[in-house]
Amino acid sequence: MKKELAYELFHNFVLILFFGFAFWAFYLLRYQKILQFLVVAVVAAFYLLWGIGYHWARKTLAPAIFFEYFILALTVFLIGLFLLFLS
Amino acid sequence: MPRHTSIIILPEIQSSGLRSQEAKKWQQPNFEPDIIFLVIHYFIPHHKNNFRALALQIPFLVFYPLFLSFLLIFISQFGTIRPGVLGIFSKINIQEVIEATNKVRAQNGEPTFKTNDALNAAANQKAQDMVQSGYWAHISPTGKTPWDFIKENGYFYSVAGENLARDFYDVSSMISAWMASPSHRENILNKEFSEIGVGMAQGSVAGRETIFVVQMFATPTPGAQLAQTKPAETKPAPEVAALPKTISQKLELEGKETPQEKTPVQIQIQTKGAGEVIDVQELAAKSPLLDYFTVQKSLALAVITFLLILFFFDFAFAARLKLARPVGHPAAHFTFLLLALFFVWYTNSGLIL
Repeated sequence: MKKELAYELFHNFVLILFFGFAFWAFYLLRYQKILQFLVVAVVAAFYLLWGIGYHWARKTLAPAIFFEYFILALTVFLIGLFLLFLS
Repeated sequence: MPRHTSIIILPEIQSSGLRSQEAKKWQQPNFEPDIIFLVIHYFIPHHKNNFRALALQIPFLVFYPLFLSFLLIFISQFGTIRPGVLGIFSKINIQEVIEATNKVRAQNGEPTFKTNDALNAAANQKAQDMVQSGYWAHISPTGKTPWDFIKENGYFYSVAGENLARDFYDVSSMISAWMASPSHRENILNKEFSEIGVGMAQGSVAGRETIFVVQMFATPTPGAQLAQTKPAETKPAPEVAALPKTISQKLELEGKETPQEKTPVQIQIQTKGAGEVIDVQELAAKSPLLDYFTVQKSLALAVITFLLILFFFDFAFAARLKLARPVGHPAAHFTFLLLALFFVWYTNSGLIL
């Protein structure tokens, strides 16, 4: 139980830390579209990897779960692509 | 032993978190789905949808990026079919740019700029040149510098600078963008600049509708004032050297030629395509109803907000009912989407140089 809680805390801490960093970087790089897009792409890729790592550590990784993270990451990536490059 | 690999099956009446009367009704064999059932079935986790809102199950999740991509592509293409409805739209007006710049200077304790018609003309010509030659830079592909535009308009300066912006929807966001960049901010607040000129051009660059705004700052050579009374003493202004990233130029005070412009100045010129100058009022009347970027941004915000609401309910119900389901981490999804919402909110259509 303690180990499980430690897993949960560690993964959530990593996620929040990374998101906080991305939040700061995106704000700092406002008006620099290429760098902002890079932040979005890295965040999307990181989230997918984080999801895989989190569920793999908990031994709950399944194709449907991978797909769920992939779709969400893809949605955010596409939004970034359209708004920062193709608008 | 694997953890959390199976769904916890809770007693049906309690599991949905709904009123027991409602849940009982759903279990009757002759139950016909009504609107309440469908709303709950699609958006709230309960036993009938395997404890996951239908709108968050894989087939629906695949639909969102596809639907969003289709709509965003459709919006970007729609402007070419119906330019009166959707296109690039800007509320920027040159007088407002000058007023906003002066306001920022006043807030920072600097004296306000005087508007100079020769600088206005130079800025307009630069903006037009960028549209007609299809570039976005301080120096044109033919090597023409901002100083050439200024001098061609009969303005001789001791110090000059240039800020560029494109595709901004309004003046305040454009000024904020410049003020957020140290080099552009330095130009706006530079004590050595005393006059300003602003130009604007709209046209198609590389197949994309674009609005350029050029801000030029300068201080006339002291000899310029002198020259008006003593023309015999005038000399040509010195040549300019290489340009820094945001252009701000200081010159030795040698030039003493008459600085003021000699030709009438068109305050705002807009072009469409190569070389075709369109009357400003005519263009204003032809402005599209909606701006591409605003529509695309609103759509992205709507999709992310919709997903956020769904994941919020998913997270809340899962936490309340202590569900362990073979699905992604709803709180993580919620946080990720919250970050995406921030990204979209802080995305700006404009660029500065």
